[in-house]
Amino acid sequence: MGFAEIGIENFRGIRHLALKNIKQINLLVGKNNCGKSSVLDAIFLLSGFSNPLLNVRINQFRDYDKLDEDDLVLNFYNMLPENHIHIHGSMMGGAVRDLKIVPLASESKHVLPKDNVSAQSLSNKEANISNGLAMNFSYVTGSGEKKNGSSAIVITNQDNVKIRSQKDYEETLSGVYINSKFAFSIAADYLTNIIQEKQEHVIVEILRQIDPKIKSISVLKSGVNVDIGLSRLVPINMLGDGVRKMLAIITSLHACKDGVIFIDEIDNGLHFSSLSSLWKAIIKTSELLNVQVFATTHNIESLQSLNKVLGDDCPASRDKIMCYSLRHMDTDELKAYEYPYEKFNYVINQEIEIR
Amino acid sequence: MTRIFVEGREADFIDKYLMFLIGANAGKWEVVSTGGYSNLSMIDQKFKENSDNGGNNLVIFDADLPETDGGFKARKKHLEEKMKELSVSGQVFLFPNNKDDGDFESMLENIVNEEHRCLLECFERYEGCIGRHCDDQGNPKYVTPNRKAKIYAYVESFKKSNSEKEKFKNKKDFFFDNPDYWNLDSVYLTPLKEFLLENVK
Repeated sequence: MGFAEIGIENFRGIRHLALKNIKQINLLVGKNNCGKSSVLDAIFLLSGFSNPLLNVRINQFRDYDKLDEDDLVLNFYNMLPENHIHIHGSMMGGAVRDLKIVPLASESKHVLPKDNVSAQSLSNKEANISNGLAMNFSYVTGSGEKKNGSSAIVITNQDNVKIRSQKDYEETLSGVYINSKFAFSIAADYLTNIIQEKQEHVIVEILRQIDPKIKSISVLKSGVNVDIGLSRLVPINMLGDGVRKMLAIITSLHACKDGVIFIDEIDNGLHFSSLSSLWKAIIKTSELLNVQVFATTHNIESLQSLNKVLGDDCPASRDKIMCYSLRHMDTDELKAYEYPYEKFNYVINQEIEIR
Repeated sequence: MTRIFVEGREADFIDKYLMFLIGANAGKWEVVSTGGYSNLSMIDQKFKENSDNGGNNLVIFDADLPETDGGFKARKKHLEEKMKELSVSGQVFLFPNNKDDGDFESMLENIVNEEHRCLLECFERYEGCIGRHCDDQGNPKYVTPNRKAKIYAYVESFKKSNSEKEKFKNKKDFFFDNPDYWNLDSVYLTPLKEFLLENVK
């Protein structure tokens, strides 16, 4: 599974984006604020297009936890709810996913005396009141069978959030989003599964490339602990960001068999000397478990490291990589310029700027 | 913005010559080193990106010589055909002067400070000397002419301050903005000057 092509319309600052020729590992590079993370967020929404909570989650990644009625428009282009969000994509096996996010019209909260309606101030805003978002999705299987569904997130009068899901649709595509803030909290659950499958040695081997003192890893009540040769286990939180970031990425890959993983600022927290281990682990694990990877970066050392790994260690994986140089046009169109391995290798060696 | 694609070693010259002609860059142009005329297909996305954003592209490469599959007419034809094949747009200028065969070094030989032209003449006599050394079959034993070495020797021969020595050694600075070395007002540069003034906007 995994995406082959994706289109995004009216999502945050992106009026339009087309991503074609998507490969197993896809890097999104571009200047600050060009929309790299928004592209990740949009594809994440499409990967879980029946789950209305994702509308909230993608804003939490940005440290925005609020969900008031005013916040419902945040993800619409120019924050105008009439710009309905449309995210669509074709999958590797020929299936098609389509998601439209629209505001839910609500009953007015204003109560007007019937004999005095005309005394109220005239405003066109009244018609635009919404108290929720609907996710209207459709799915066409590789054999042409079409399924439609709709789910919604609604803010109730008591300021609670109500979720309405499509009961007869069960998501089959695994998707995990790793960002710098939430990277470490997800590792414990995934690691437990890996340990149950007796695969922890794979994780330890990868972590040892960052910290050779690590002998084993386990999950206790207190969380993930590692044995670094001391008289007692050490909570992984006491180790550096690099080890934890690597653990989050690798365990997420294992949790996402045949699915899609999204990694924002992939190299954040990692010393440049660890980047080669990171890329080797991602390339090998994603191939082994058939996981599609979307990652953002603007770190030249990370790109150079990937280029070197593909050149020296993983030449067979060169055709499984695509780097998209994202450029925000004056028209708010986001254009993706494609750098498959040969071009990627050339511009990195030639020090031509694509970030 | 004007994006100027050069082969590599001319990047600093183009940058400094443009500053000489029109002042500070201020986002008007960007020089991209491509690594050679045969690599256009590797960087077609950089052409498209600039065009999509309303910019124009310039290609300033060497004409080279017919005996090395180049020459002004053949190289210009090749580049224009290649750009058409890649669906990229841009205006082409070929060193030395957009009409003759030759290259960047040929152009530089024509814009040296006349006071120091003697350095090139001395180098030519040196090349004449080493050109007489032959192997057992009577073939020239050493590379002559060596025009890159000639330009390098020209620049290296100038007395330099410590900071200039460091720039020359470590940054390959040929001091294109120093009139003691180069005459950027030379009539020989008129075709390049007109090309740049017309296209850098």
